[in-house]
Amino acid sequence: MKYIIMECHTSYAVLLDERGRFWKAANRQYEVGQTVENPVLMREPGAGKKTRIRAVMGIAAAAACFLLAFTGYYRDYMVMNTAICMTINPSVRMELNRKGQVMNVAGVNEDGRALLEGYRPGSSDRLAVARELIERAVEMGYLSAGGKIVLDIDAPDDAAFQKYGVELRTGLADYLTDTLEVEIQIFRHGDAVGEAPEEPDRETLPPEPLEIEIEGIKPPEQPPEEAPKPESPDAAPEQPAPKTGTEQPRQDLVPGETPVHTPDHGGDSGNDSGLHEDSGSDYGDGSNYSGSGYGEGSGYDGGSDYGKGSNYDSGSAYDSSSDYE
Amino acid sequence: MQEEYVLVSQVYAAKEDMEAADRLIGSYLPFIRSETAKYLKRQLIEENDDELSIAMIAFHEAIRGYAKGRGAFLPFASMLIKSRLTDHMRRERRHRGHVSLDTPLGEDGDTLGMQFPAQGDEQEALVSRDATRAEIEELARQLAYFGVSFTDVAENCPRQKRTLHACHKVMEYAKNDPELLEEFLRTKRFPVTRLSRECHVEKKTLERHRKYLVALLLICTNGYEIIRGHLKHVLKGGADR
Repeated sequence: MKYIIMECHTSYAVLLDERGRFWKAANRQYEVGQTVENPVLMREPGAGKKTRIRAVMGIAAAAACFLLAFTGYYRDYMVMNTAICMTINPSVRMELNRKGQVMNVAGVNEDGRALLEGYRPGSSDRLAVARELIERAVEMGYLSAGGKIVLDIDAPDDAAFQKYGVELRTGLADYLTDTLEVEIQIFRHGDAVGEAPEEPDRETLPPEPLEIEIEGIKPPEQPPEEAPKPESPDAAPEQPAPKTGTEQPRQDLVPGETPVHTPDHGGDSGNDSGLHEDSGSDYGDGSNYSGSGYGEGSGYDGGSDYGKGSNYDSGSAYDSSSDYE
Repeated sequence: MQEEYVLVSQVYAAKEDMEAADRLIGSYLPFIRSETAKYLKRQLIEENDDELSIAMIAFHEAIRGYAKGRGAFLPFASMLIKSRLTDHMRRERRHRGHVSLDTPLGEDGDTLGMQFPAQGDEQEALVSRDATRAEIEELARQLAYFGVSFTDVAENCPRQKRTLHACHKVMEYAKNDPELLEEFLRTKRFPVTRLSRECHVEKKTLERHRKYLVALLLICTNGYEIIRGHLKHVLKGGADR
């Protein structure tokens, strides 16, 4: 770039460049009319500061964008949102992120840790991981026909609980239908297992009705909607599920232990009188069968009543009236 | 304390008035020389040192950039002089090993360039320089009618590309409209409204850079062929691309 010297002063000269810009520059013994090529131009005060401020603002904006993006990513993918505790009885805990992907699987008890030894999830899909774990449990002898799978879902809201619950129930039921007859129970974490549910759908998801094979006893063809109320008609439908009934499965899930029969079909302690009156006719009557277990929606009862026939098979426990108390 | 106060007030006066700045620099020339010599660790060769002119422009920058909150003026100026000299030295390092034709050979004032045989076009260059100077002096006179100096034009010159482009649009329009230029010279009034309307440039922009535009419009009038030749890229409309 060539500059014409337009004006000379002691400390500076005024130059005109080829682009029509006038500059002040160091007067290196210039003369007016001289053409120069490499003048030392005067810097405008604050020009560098503006550039610096712009650079800082640019960096700050980029950092803010990065933070926003990262925060969103972090919240969606790296923070635990839901925990699903699967008890077979090896108890394992799956931690899901906001997107429902499995972030981590950990053993809750000794058997759970043994189950997970050497295990690496094939994918981050929760259903796939659950299937793999069940498959593994079967291989390792923790789960066999007639066993139970209890899923305790610690979800941040009802929608998530419903979503994961329905998905796991459907997915696992489909998976297990042809291979193994087991009972699947789903609870929402925080709701005490044995407590009476206020809202059935919130407490537990009703299990898929599966065929129950019980020797010598025919299940009711159409379970009546209303349970008979032999002695206290007002209290019966609102009777909470007994704690013993819902807590029972967890105790039962210890491998090697003989499953203890619960008064599922008879239902509940609230209907004890009915059961005692005619324990053998409960099935024929059908009212206790449907009303207490499934209708009430208590987790364990619902699952056991409709889910599997294993409990019903053991007729001895059923017959002994002491069990119901 | 009183001296510092006087100096600060002089500096603030010099910020607005370039002549006052020039006077201040003249009065502080010993300080500037001293700082330069301290930096170079040698005595300055009078009137021949690039470094001195760079130190002076640095002092000028110090005047323009000084604020009371930055402490005393002279340490600030000293710091600026040193940093500008450092920049200059770095730039000059690229040409290390090259000898300037202006290098003095002895005490009689002869330079290295004088030892070489004179080039054929030197005379022509001198003639050209004289002609250019004549044009520039005439332009300066014309500008004085408008109360503008080249220093004012340099102060008023746009630095942003978009604004510069807008000003060049105005210049291009004026160049092709002799009537407008004639009226401009006759009335000594800058036709802001008309130019804004015809060139689609905001009035505010024209007002802000009025002095610069006055100089450009004067260059477009007759008698400034050499300067227009220097600005041929702008007049062709290619400078901003």
